[in-house]
Amino acid sequence: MRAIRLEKTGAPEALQLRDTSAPGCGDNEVLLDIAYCGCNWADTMVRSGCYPHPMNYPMIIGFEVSGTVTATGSGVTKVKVGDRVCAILTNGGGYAEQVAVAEEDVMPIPDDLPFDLAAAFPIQGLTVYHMLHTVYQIKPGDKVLCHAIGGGVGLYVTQMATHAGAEVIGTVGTPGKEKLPLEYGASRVVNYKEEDFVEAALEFSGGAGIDLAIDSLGASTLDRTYDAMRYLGHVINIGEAEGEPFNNIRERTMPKSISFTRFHLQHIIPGSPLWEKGRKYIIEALLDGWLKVNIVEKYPLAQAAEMHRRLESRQVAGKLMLAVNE
Amino acid sequence: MKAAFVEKAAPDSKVEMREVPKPHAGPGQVLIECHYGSLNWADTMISRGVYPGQQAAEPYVALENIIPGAEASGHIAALGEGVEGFEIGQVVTAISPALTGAFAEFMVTWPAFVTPLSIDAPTAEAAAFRGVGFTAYHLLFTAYQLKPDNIVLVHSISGGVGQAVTQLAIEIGATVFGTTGSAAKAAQAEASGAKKVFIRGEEDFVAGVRDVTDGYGVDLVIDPLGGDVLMQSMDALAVLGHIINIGNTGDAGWPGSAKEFHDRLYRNCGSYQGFDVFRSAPPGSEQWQAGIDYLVERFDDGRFSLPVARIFPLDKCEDMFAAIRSASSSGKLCLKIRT
Repeated sequence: MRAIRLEKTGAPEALQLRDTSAPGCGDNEVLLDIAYCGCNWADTMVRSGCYPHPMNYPMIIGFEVSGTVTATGSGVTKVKVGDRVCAILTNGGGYAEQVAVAEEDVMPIPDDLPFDLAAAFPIQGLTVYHMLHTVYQIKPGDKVLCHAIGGGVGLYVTQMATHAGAEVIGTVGTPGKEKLPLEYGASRVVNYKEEDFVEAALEFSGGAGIDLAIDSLGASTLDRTYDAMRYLGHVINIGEAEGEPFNNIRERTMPKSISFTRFHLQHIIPGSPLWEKGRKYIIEALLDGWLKVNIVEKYPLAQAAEMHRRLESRQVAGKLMLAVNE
Repeated sequence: MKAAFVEKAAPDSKVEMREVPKPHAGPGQVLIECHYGSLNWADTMISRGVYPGQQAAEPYVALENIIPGAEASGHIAALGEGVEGFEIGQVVTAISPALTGAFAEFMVTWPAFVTPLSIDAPTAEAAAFRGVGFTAYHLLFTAYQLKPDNIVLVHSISGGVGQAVTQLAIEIGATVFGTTGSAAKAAQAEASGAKKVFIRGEEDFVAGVRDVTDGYGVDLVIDPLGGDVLMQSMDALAVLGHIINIGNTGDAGWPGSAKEFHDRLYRNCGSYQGFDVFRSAPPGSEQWQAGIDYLVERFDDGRFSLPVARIFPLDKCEDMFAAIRSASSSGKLCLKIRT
């Protein structure tokens, strides 16, 4: 099969299309013909070698896919050949024509959910669902601050938080990126290079401070976020695009009794009641149409490097995807 | 009037006795005649000058000429102009928002900090239950929303906050585990309802907690120690568990690097929360009053009370400070102010 096999970490050029052997299908696995693979910021971190969790190279990156089941292992009971599914691939494998997935990691999708959407929601959509409804219990009237609101996660936060009756303020670093979040329901978007986001967030919350902040940047952005919080507010961190968090969490959380969580979707066990709740919620929302995924561009497998360059330009307001086999 | 006194807060400061002017209730204030005082760990931090923010340019808690003590039971001696809803002679438990002034024959405070009780005369128990009870209530029900099926790990479970947390958590049906410093204290905490208490330094509480919860871990950790205990506690969490740190009584400071902290917290997708009781439930707020009502109801009907370990006479105040520092006691140390 054809795949983007990463021999070693490096610049986008490290993503080269190669012919490799097709994966085998273990007893408890299913084999998929991949339709689409969603691109995430983590893909670029794994490629360049700065992902915080160890990966084994050489590897095929790509962590969320949709496709059709073409074979099942002898122990597989809930999935059959021909099923339309999507899946999160903890160890990668998505930038390829085929992948083998453990049965419990496979999520069935309804016939009327297109394959591109099915590969666009698993990581970001479920992550946002569980931040808002599992780690935090979002409620009407909550004031939410979301950094990088124009990105994939930010747009999900905007839509799911406002759907729950909360009001959302966000930050962007690039002019133009405010357009989509505002269209999707954000009350206010601040370009942090032109305006102080702490001041804006305090004003937005009538001086009381923010109930919930979602931060994927870390470093000084996370540090200043504490100043925008209300007493007993909650900060959830899911990334370090700006840099590692500072060593001041005690000083920053104590004065306002703020909670701090580092969230990663892998802690929600696939198939568990919590997992199923999130999966159903998002698939229903996509079919209802209130939850939108802005698929900005679809790249053929051979242009994975180009897709990474585009994401790293930080100009993307939405989702990039690899169209493997439409 | 007679008062305990610390001239200058410092690591080696001693509590002396002084004759000082009796305070008066200004507008909006309440004058309390103190019968019993109750000692908290914060009092020792203040006398040593290490209370958070105490060394700041404009400290919230004074550094010099301090009358120590934050809480006392007694009766109302005078009401300042405009104060309503109280009567002279009423038996009350009271705290000082400045966290000082209680270990004296009289102290001045504000109405939100004065709680009438239904008992006939002030007692040591009346002085002892409010501060730690209030902290415990807001840890469990304001900072966290404790539910009957939750499992809680309480460090320093034999301390005042630990005992209060244990009582309030068990009352709603939650399961409580703890750590403490000695076998005697562990046995005492288990007798008060903790399911299992580990002796720090002798037993591995992380492995112990996993073992007794069939691998699950705990939903909530209450940590007044900081240091290595805090770091290890992250490994005792259930997935999506929550740690609330309320200080560094272990004096171990803040442990490790940011990276280690974040990585360990991340292993169980845990949440970390700093905690300041006055700012979690601002004085006079609905949440504040809810905590007082919850505790007073339970104190009055006997469901909630902290054991008083020892009562010192006012002029032995320094001995009481020495006793809490030695960490040998389990139960509240109190001061008999009015003889």
